[in-house]
Amino acid sequence: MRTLSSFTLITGASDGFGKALAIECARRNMNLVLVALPGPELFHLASFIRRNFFVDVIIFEKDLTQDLSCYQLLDEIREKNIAVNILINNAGIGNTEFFIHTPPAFFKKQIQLNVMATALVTSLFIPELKKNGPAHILNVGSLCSFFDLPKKQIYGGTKSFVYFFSRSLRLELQDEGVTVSVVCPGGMNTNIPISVMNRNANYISRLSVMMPEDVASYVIEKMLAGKKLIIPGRLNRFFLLLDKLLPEFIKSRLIKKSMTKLKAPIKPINEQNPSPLAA
Amino acid sequence: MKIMITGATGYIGNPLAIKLANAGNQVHALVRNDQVKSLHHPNVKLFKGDINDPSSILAAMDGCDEVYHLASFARLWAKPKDIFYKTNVDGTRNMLEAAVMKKISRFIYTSSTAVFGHSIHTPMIETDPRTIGFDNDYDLSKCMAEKLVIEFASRGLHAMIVNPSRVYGPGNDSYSNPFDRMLKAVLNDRPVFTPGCPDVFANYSYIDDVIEGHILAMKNGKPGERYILGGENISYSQLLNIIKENVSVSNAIPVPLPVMKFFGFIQLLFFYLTKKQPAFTPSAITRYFRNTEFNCNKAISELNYRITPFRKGMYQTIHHLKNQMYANP
Repeated sequence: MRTLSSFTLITGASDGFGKALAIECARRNMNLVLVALPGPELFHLASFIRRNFFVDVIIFEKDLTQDLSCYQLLDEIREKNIAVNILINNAGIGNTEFFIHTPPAFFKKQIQLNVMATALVTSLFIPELKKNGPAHILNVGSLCSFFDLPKKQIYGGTKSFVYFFSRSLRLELQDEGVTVSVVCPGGMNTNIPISVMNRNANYISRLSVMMPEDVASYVIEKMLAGKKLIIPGRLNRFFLLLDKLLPEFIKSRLIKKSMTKLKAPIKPINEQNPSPLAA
Repeated sequence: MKIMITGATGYIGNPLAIKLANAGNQVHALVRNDQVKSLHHPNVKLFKGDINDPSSILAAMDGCDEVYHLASFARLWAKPKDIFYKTNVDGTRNMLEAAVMKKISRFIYTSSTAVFGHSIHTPMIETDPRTIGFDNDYDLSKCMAEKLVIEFASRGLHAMIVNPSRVYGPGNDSYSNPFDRMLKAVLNDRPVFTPGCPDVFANYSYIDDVIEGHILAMKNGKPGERYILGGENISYSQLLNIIKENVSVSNAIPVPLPVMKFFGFIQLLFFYLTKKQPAFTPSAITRYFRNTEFNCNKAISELNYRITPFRKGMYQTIHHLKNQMYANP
């Protein structure tokens, strides 16, 4: 029986920021339920955490873009009597691409995961969280949702949803023992393609890029303190302040200039410069 | 057997090439400078070229059965940073594509334990995830190259990855061999700066073990797998004590991380003023202040890899350096 100890559920835990959050929670002796797409990475992460920390780690291989998987996740967690008291909605799909180059199938999936799965998983787990309270919900938004950004139209939109949803839900749940926080991180050197893209960004953006483990440690601390909006990084907080102060026409010029330099996540290099051997 | 090797002038590659040649193999070494003396051997044939020049790779690989790909840009910092990706990623892709064309039977890519980031409480194993984000271009480019090797392995190339840890032991004076420099400073009674964190553990592999590990991986390794070639995990204070068993260390100065970072920052400033390459940078130095423990049981059980005890390896290294100093005072 596991009813005595409580668990932190993290979606999208196998790589990137989710992995950093999982390791940070384990460092703080929090038991973990890790949810990620099927694949060996999730097993490897779980075995790594079990070897390094004295916490329980339970894994579920789920594709949360399927509504059914979200329902199954709740069922299986109830069946195993796992008491979840912290829910971290981290799973999400990012991209950097002009809208006309984005296939509808891609942004449908992006909206399905970033918006629908966040709402559905939250809705399904609220009764659990209330039961196991005091509880926390941490939704992972993005700094993008504060700025007008070409190449981030749909992504920024989904993260604006996460932002609005979290702040409003916080008011609804504040007397129920569930504290809702939203984190809006800027760029992070998480996985390989994102790290390559960050290195091709302009100087100011490169300065603001953070390491996922530093962000994770800041975010978990603020979440446990019940903070409403979490913006990691001094420079990112300064950007937000600047955004409030600067007149509109200067801002749009600055953003336009910086975005043209942002390249899409790496394509295999032989696509860009065909290797003479490829023939 | 005909064997191609890249990075044959390097700290690991040079003795590996000579060992393969001594065993009676025909060694094809792809080198940028074909006047290099360290590869003078009747069984070593030099091919002038570069891993960024596919035609030179094809020429050197012609007729070979096995390939050891060690060439790498092994620094923690460079400007412009593209050289990391050109050498470590594009160069490795050129090698893999050539290996497919030349129907190479076995291919070894020499990566590094740097791809794992740092360890937490227990030594890391091959399947462990990278624990930190990508804070430097070396780690990122090596991870990208590993992904390529695994991709080619899944498509049928018998390609394997070896990950040596911090290598020490007698060898040529190179950026990958900071140990010799430190020990020479100790032997000459010059001050040595040590990371100010005596309880931080790292993994140290003896050069001879790593060379033998490459040959064993070639013989016994499975495609698409990686093998950590390491040694004992010891702390800086243990390391210093073992050195002190052999020589007197009068001037070991522990330097705390903030001070090291400050020096790194100053060096970066100097780079922008004088174009003198920094020895280390603030982000690169951090790794020496974090645990990097590794477990080599996979290589031991699957490859028959053997570890030289650190005390013995260090004794041999210091002995070798002392003899060298008496020979060329």
